[in-house]
Amino acid sequence: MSTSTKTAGAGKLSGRTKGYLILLVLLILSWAIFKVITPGNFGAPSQMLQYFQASLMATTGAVGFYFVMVMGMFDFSIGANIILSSVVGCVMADRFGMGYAGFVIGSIICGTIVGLLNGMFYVKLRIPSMIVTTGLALIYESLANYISAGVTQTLPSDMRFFGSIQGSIILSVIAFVVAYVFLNYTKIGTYTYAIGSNEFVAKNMGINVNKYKVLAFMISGAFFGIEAILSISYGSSMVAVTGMSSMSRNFTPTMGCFFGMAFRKYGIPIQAIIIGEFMINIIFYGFIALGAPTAIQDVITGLALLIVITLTTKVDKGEIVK
Amino acid sequence: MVGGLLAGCGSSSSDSSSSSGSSSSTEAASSSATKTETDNSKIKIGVSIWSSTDVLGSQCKLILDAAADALGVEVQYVDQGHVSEKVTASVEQLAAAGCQGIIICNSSDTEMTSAIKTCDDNGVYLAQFFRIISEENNPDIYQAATDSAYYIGAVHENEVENGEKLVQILLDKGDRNIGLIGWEQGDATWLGRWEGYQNGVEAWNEEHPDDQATLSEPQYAGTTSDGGSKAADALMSADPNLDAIIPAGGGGDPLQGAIAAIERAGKVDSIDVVSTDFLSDLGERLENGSMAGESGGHYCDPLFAFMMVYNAIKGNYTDFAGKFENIEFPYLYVSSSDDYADYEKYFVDQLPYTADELVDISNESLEELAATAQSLSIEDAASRAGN
Repeated sequence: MSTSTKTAGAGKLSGRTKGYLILLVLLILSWAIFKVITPGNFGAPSQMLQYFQASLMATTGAVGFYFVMVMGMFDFSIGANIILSSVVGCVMADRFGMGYAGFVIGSIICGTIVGLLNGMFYVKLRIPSMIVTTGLALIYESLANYISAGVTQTLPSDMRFFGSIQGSIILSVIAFVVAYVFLNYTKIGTYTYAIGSNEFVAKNMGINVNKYKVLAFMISGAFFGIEAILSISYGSSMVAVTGMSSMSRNFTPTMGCFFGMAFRKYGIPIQAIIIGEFMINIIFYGFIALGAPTAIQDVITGLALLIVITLTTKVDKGEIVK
Repeated sequence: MVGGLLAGCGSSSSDSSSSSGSSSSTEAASSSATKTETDNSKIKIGVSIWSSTDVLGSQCKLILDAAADALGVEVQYVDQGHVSEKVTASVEQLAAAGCQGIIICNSSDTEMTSAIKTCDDNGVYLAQFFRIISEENNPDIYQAATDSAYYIGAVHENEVENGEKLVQILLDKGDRNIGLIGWEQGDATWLGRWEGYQNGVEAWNEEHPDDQATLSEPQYAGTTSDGGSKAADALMSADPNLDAIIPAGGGGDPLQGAIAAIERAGKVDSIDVVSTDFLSDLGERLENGSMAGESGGHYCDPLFAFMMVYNAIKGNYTDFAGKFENIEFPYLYVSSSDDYADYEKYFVDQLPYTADELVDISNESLEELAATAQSLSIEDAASRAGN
């Protein structure tokens, strides 16, 4: 009796538990590989905390971006939003003497406004989100450059609490909880999934699709505002680049978001994004501990991402993959 | 005042203004034989730069704007981010915008093939700043530049020597485990500095077999401060005995990020930092120990490329075909707060050249211009300022 019951029980693991197990195995695996190869300078608890902190910036943005991506839209203005929001926050904190309040509120409101503009233009112009956000990214970059008067914005040294481990964890955890609540316990979360699953059906059900698309961009923008706070606090300065140079900031949050999309079927997208970004950083730091050249690091990181997503994404027979 | 400056330049009426703007190669060859005077207000010089807004780029813009104001010429910037296709496109854009001369900080030598061709086709003078085509690695491109009637030459730093000197500062301070942060793989300046760091460490190890130094594999931070911060965090995490970090460059922002990471880790006293690209608060950092030394002050480099192009447009410098003008620009080194106080006085609080001096420089021959560039130092600026 006991053997058959155990087998049946194991077979009936909930999707959520399965998801957590897979994530845990991947996490331990990525840690263990480097720990075995280079035990002396990798993977101690204090170091793991450091790797985790470094992952929080992109994770926070990715968690917000999930709302947009799950609806089937994309955003090429992520980097420009982060730059503009951190420049605005820094200017409000330093130039206007508004301290932490100006820094935090300025960055988040700026990010939200950028999201609102992205959503509005996307909905009103009725052209693909990638094109809309690419065009707007150029404008945001120029605006940031104008506000900063072409000079690197340096956050005063007494205002870098969110660059510390404690500060970044506090702010990020608040952001993750908010995202989790939005996604699981509000109408926005429900409609986000409904629109993402089948926009046509959602519309016929009476959901104001355009309104919720704009809201998704606003939520995403606000989270990029938080990423901006973490980024400038961590690095201490921000330069308002132009000519689409901000694009390089798009990809790390996007990679984390892919984890969220892959683990959506297990019902733990936010958790997957957090652990996925953490894994990416474990691999990054692991290669540095090994002294591996950057080109090799990039190859292995890219391959790891492809393998993880492939193994966790089940495509039904006959399903069209775009 | 500008009128006076223009008179000093020997410029004249506008009727001879456009001779250099759209002429063909043949016309250029013949016109180069006689000095052509051009109204300065009709001169437009393009600047193809990686960024006119980061720490170093904005300083370059400052001195170029001052020179343009002093000479009464127009200057137009294109930020290309050192992305190859953007570098190539920037030259085409500036030529199409009516620039009679262009100065360029390219990313790799190969981009210069297209840049030289564009300039030859459009009759636009071209000079490089912070860069020089490698005769050894790219002889064909070097030859094309030499053959061109419009390519003037290059103003550049000796990056290998710069790397050697910086790493020596660390070795002299007793640092033996050195972490290296680059900014962009393949960038010519980065490769030069990296070679210098390696040379410095190898030379030390040969001379001191019982006291070996190590240089880490470079970690690439891009040109952002958070990239620099993350790379420094990773290097410190990977080597608990790390006692020095070299953020090699990238406009100053990776350096700021690396310093923030060291401060956050509480290792300001145990990790020395040297770099290139002066920060605005360098004096304070040299005093509190978060910086051990720095080379920089090279933001005046593009000024001399600008003067080369300006004089070519004016018809003062001629006959470029078959020649490659090479001006080596010196780095300034500071390793104490006193050093930096002097630098700040003559290079930060004010530009190292007054408007009148800029006009004087514009009247120099090419040989004199090269000598002026090579003699620039804190002492030189102080003596010209009457101290």
